[in-house]
Amino acid sequence: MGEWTAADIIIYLFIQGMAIGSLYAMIALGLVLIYRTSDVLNFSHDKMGMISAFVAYVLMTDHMPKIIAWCRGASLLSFLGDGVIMGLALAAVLALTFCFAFLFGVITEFFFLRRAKNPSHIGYIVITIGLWLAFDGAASWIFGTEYLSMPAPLADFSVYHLGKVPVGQLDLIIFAATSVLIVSLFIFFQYTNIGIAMRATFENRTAARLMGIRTRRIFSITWGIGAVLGAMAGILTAARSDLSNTMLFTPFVKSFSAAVLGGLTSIPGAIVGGWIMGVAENFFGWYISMKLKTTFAFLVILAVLLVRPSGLLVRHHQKKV
Amino acid sequence: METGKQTNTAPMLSVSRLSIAFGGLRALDDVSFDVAPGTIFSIIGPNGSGKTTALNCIGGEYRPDTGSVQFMGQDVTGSPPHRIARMGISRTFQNLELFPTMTTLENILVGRHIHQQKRPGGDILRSLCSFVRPGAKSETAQYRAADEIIDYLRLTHVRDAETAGLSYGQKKLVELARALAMEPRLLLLDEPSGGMSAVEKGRFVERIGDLKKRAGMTIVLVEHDMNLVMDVSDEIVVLNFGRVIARGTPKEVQTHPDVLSAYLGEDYNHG
Amino acid sequence: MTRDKDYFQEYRIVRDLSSRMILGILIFGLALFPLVSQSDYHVFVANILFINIIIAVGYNIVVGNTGLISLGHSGFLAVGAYASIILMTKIGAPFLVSVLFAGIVTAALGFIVGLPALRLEGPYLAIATLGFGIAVEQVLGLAKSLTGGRDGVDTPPYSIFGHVMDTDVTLGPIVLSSEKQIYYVILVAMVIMTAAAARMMKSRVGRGFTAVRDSAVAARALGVNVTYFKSLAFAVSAFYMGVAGSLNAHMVNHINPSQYGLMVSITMVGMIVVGGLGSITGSIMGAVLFTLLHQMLAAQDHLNAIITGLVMVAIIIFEPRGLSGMWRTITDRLLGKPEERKI
Repeated sequence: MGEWTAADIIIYLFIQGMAIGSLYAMIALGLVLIYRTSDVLNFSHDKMGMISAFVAYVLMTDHMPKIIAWCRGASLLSFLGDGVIMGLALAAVLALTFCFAFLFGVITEFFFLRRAKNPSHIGYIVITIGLWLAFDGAASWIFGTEYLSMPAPLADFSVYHLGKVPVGQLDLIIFAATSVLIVSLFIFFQYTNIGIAMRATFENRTAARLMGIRTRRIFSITWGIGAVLGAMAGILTAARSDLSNTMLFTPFVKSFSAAVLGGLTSIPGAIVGGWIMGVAENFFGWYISMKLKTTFAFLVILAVLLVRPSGLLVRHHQKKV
Repeated sequence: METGKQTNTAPMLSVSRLSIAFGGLRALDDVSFDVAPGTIFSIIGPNGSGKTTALNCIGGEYRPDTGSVQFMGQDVTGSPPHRIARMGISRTFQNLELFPTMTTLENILVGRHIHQQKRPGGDILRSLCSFVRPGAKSETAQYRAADEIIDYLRLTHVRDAETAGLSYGQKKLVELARALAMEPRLLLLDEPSGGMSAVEKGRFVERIGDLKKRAGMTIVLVEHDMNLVMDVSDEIVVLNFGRVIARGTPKEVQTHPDVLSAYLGEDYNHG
Repeated sequence: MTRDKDYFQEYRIVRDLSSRMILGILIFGLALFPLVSQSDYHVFVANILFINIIIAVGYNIVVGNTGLISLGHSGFLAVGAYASIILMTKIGAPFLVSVLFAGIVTAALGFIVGLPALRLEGPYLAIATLGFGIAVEQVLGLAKSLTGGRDGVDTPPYSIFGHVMDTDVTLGPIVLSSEKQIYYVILVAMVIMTAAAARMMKSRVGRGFTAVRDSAVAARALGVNVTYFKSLAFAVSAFYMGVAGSLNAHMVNHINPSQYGLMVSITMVGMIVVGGLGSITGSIMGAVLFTLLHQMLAAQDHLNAIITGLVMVAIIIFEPRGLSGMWRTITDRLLGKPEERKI
């Protein structure tokens, strides 16, 4: 980095920060969505995302030839080049993985959380912690504990250059994915029936039920969507670094910071919080200390909560007596 | 129970120009009243008139935007609730704030909290010394005091029952007992008769009168039941939309035109 | 209306003679155990169990009794362990003093950490404390000069009044291995600290904690300084963590920061939730279950995690009051509800 100017460094840190911040935002979104609607902090979110990423991995390594053949056969345009077929195959893998993730979320909510008879806050937390443990054990049993790399086409990304500053193709993909996500979520919550129902369930569960909204179904769907977001984040994180049992844990803790930063019930807050977290952490790591990045995340949480106990974008309510 | 003496005529509680707003809603607007020692003072008014808010400002749960609260000559405006409790004000809550996992006895023992004064760090040390009889004196004294109140309010048969399982009327009694355990100079009761049957209300009126006579307690009542209020109060203040619209004896308030129109509608006055 | 009642009798933590006899026999049995046990490994497991009991009892005070969700108490274990080691190795303090001081230092830290953190509610507090636990682990891994960094440090063995417990001791016909000598120290500590916790919970302090959990609003109106009591709960539980951490550290030969990570915090949560929140017998039951589970499944990490996790989930779903709640239901049915009992 000899010939880089200070401006170059800042731009690089910023872009990298936004990229990783977008991943944090994605994880935080899943967390916030679930917390908003069903009042549960899903501590097993990182494990669920990790398992989904493993599913994608297995699909890509063991079953790729089958999928490619299916794509070639299914698309009447079998004369298309290999690149496009690969793209279709990848899309198929993603679709299958997201379906799996959605079902994973729904089943988790249905089997574990719904059964609990009116637990307290700590009760819910303990359930998700127990699930964290169980998923962790199951994942290391089924998938092993080594570090793996995602296979093609999620490997070997090119690097573009903005002046002297390198910008990874994957990072651009992450930006694109996040932007698409933001727009989709906006449309979803504003204009679709389910989205509006989810908002209603969050604002006032009883009223929503009285209005005919099937809140139970909303919970399941929310968990499903949350799990899909986790899967997306998991696949992208695996593509960016490694696929392993613990790969999502550190980003998960930082996403918690991000979610708290923005306010645990605010969806834009999760996104903004993620970006702030990513960029701030990057600058901290470069200028101060690489090894204390997680501690930094913790200090950020503390600092924000001291001043605004419910996060930046959420109004703090005092209990009425 | 100890009896208090009122040797002066200065007010026990003096609320002066109390105002507080929540967001855009003005809950209290320039509210002032005095409570004479050893009397029963009621705050009444239609729903949402600010009665509980006034109580919360006195008790320290809310900090008023402007105005002051003076208790026995001391300014307690904005003091935190636990400090106000130590000064001798205790209260009950409209929606019951019992400790549901604790028994009746244990609830009342928490009411004795301030009477077991601690030295810094001494609490833990003292409890460790209480394995033996002499070291447990301060604890057993509280048990005795609590039992007196339990007997007085006829809660003996539910003494060791978890309060979560009690009937609504019993729960209200336990909350009263707990407040009395503090041996307060001033007792704030927020809708104490809510949910009580006629018989229970009658007994409640007797008890309040008894407290005033025997213990010389000053009581501020926030209430909805007009008969009860007129029966029991020495003085009443009427709130509407956060403002004082009338003040005086039950008779004066009963015939006050503003009070009538506040409760029964504008037309009543001219009807 | 005076009652000629023996309030001291009511105030005792173990009230009736039969319970006291059972407790006495139990402790006597525990004291005899190393003398009859042929296996040092069993004694080792017992040592781990007693330390887990100290941890569970202390942790239950803050989470079960006071209702504060802390997911980073492993940080206090670490602080206690390292404080004690530093006191012994760098300052040359004797063992018992170091353990006690480690507890006090950790308690002070707990109080300080508590003050800002306890303004937070439920999930926010959970996240903040989670971060605390992770941060402690990271910082300890970096302070190389003080703590030996990521590689950790060797720990000095137990020593009471100059007698170092690293070799066998022969008392007539009985040979006590170092593990068995350590057993007695930990047993005494465990009994004292459990009794102290029971005593505290049934006195002004304990009622203050429970009041804070059940209704902070009412607690305040009754003169309880809620902020102070929340911090006090943190401090008391941190003391237990500090002592447990240091007792554990000197029992093994070497410690490093990664031993005090998230898994430890999770185990703690599991112990008290499965055992029963806010209950001393619950803490003991939870500690027993988790210690046994861990020992039985030690070879198979994955199975251990899955079973432990599912047990935690199952308890919340089916019996939220934990094992002690189940026990209480059984005794209520057999002996009648407490207020109806003649005991």
